[in-house]
Amino acid sequence: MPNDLNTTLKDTWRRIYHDGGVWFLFFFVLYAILMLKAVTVSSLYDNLFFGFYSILITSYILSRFLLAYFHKPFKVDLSYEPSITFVVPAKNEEDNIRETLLRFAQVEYPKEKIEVVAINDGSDDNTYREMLRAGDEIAPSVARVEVVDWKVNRGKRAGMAEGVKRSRSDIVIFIDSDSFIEPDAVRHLVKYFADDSVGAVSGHTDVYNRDTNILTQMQAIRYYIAFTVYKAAESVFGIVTCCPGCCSAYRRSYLMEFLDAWENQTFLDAPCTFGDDRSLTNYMIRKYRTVYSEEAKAYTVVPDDFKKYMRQQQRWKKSWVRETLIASTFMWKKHPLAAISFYSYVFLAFASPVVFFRAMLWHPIIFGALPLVYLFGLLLMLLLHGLFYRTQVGPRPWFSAIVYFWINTVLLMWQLPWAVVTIRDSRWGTR
Amino acid sequence: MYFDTSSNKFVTLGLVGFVLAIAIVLTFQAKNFFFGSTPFFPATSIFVSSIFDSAAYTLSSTGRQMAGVFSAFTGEEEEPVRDARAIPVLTYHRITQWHGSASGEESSGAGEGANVSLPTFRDQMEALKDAGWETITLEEFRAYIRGERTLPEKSFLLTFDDGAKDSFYPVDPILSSLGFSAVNYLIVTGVEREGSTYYLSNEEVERMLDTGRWEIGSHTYDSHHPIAVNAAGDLAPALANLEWKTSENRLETVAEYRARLEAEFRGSRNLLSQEFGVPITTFAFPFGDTGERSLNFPGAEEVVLKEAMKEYEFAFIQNDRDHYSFNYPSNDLLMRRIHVEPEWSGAELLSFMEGGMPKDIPYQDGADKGWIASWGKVEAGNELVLSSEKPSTSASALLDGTKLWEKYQVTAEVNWTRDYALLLVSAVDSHTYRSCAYEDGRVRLQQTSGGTTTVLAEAQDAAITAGSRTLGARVTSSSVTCLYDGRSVLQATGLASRAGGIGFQTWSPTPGAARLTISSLTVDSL
Repeated sequence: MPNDLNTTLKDTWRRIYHDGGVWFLFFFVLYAILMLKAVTVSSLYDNLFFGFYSILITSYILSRFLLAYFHKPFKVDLSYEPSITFVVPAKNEEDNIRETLLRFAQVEYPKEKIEVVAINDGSDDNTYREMLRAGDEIAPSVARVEVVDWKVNRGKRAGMAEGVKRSRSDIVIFIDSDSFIEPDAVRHLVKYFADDSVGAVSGHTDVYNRDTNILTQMQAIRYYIAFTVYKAAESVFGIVTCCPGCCSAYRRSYLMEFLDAWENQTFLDAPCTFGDDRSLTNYMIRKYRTVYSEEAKAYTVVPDDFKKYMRQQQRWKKSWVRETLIASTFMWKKHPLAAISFYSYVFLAFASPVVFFRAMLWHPIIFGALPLVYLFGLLLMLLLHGLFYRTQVGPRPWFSAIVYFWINTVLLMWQLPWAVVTIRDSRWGTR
Repeated sequence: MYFDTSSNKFVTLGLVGFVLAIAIVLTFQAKNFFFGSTPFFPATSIFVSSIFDSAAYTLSSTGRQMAGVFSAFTGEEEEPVRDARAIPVLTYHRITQWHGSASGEESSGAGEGANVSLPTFRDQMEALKDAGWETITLEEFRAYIRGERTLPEKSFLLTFDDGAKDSFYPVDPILSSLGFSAVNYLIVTGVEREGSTYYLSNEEVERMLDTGRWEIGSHTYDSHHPIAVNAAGDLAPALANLEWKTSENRLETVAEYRARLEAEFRGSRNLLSQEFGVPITTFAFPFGDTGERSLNFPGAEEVVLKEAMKEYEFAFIQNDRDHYSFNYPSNDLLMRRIHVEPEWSGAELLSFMEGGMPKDIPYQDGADKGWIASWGKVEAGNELVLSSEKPSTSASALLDGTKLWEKYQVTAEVNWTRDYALLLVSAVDSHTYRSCAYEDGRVRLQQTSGGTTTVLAEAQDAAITAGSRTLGARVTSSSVTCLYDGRSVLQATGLASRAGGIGFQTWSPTPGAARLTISSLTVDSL
């Protein structure tokens, strides 16, 4: 048998065998989750709050998968080509900023429609010099490059606002200084703006340094699921609650309607110095639609150190608390299913630590029994996520990451109450 | 809305949903079919572990099976199999495993006897199988005991009490592998208990019967627990005593007692046979108590046995130290069961069984081969040593498997220290026998029946003294002759013909002083 045919057959067999096997496992885990709910249904009546929580969280998570499955694909319209500006605020990113900027030159898009605005936000390393150097290198491939130099740090929000103000294009694309976009990302981002109701588009971000350690592997799963399942589910209704700063596009004209309000946003009488992207999305959502584009791929560098990771998560939790509270005031006006999803999620996020506490501490102390059902249910859910990830991305070390994910979920859910308590403390702000 | 309405997605979703729904419904159906009302988590635990157990057992027993196949091919000479002269019945309760499938819930009433661990049980069953023992069914047992048929030697009946989940799930793979069958004695209220994690549910009993390896019998309707027998509320076995009726502040009458027993025996039998569609012909007394130790009604045993006989062919009681351990053909209701101890290894159980097998004459006792320690301290090793322990005054031992002996001469080299040394012959049990009782200067030929002794003959003989002696007896169909150091010293004739085995006793009026050592024993035919 010729060598390549042999290899192809072996590969096909391996794919059916492995992938089929993983898909079977995925549906088996789904079956197990449903069985677990069906079997424990009688005990749910024992305690209405926890019974309700249990049903709600299972329905919520399964509904995310379901909605994401039905997220409508959108074709690129080659005749629709708005002008774009890449806005890259950076502080002390001399290692990554060059690569970030160089990628703009490789973008598949008419070069006369591309602008780049890079803001050096008070760096004390060589970021500015790197920006200038990269700027010169990509200048032939784009229409215009502008490098802004701030000697004193003003914060990411100010940097993003500055980029918007200096932009002369229809669409502003925010890219983080440690994020790298794929060449076809731009077309996939802008395609949605043909519809006037669309105000912002979130790209799909994967973890760049996935293989560094188990922490990054686990984050790879979280990012993947957060985008492919959760953002896609939100996108079905056009209400993506956070178009992240690592790779998102905004319609400039709509941005100008509230740019100042956003830049000068205060919360509980203190200026907002974090959660800039979530806050911006929130302003956009009030009147316009925000969408997720899964083909617009970018990569970002994630913390590989546990302490840094926890600080980042804590920061994100605080911005989430603030912006969610704000969004709660108008989300009820949106599509009923979207509103129910949103408020359910808020309830679940706040209820989770309570349920956890009861299952892991109170119940064992009072009844002397391990919370096996709770832990097993949690594991099954995470297994579902991990198996889905595995079916989509192929063979990767996913199982150990699941276990880590399990540990993390338990840790991270406590950051939420802590975030509420420390909401006014802006010491852990960005840059 | 960015909702994809393409039909193939809906079709796929529909298919997936359909398959999942079917799977979930089927799972519930299967659980009910196999486990009945057992709650889901214990049922799943049993299901998963029985898969592992079966697999593990099959793997580890292939070695044994290979050896068996190999020996069949090499055509080892098989000894001709004799007919059995007596059949033992073994009884177990629960076989416990590392995960304990009956966690949480306790049996109704005190746990009867100890539970055997799975490795031990397996060792015991394999030891029996390897030595040629095979199980029989209840019908085969009945036909044999009633003299209607023969059975090969080394046949035994295997029983389990209480109908606990732990008496079936760990056991069945072993039975299947060894080709054994067993009987499970069910407590009706246990079987009917909804959602029990301890007892087998109705459906589980059905599955058990479906295997073809199991039969069932009655272990009472609801009398496996103690009842109050006086105003103070003291508890005692339910079938053996009159119940103290707290609401009426009196003891139940004999008529009420009889009615209660009838309800128990008949009720349990009817219910079980109706529920499972099989004849229920045997009964197992809880705690082996037939009323002979009743606290408040001396005539209890008679009433109990009479009521039991109306409903059942056999009623099983636990073996005790006063009787031979195997069951001999008869018309009796009561049959004895050997309670297998959790400490016994397979080899020890086998040794016990071999000790209980009917012994042939001529017989030579070299090592411990089935001495029943009836009371006192009995040590059976290279020598048999009987001694009394304070505060008691005597010790007694019976040689198992000798019930059918009729004509023989027994000679024993003994060393007797103090007071009385008795050689028992024609022993039906440890309280019914004839004996040569030796003491300093005198020998007596006695007949003991149910513990009451009459002297048949007596002789003064100055030569008879304690020490190292050779004692003996010659037993024919009508006479017993006592021997001392090789000569006849006393004889009684004209006795009623009776089969029975041999034993020894020693006693001394001083507590803890009696001692008799038997260093060798020979039995010759006449």
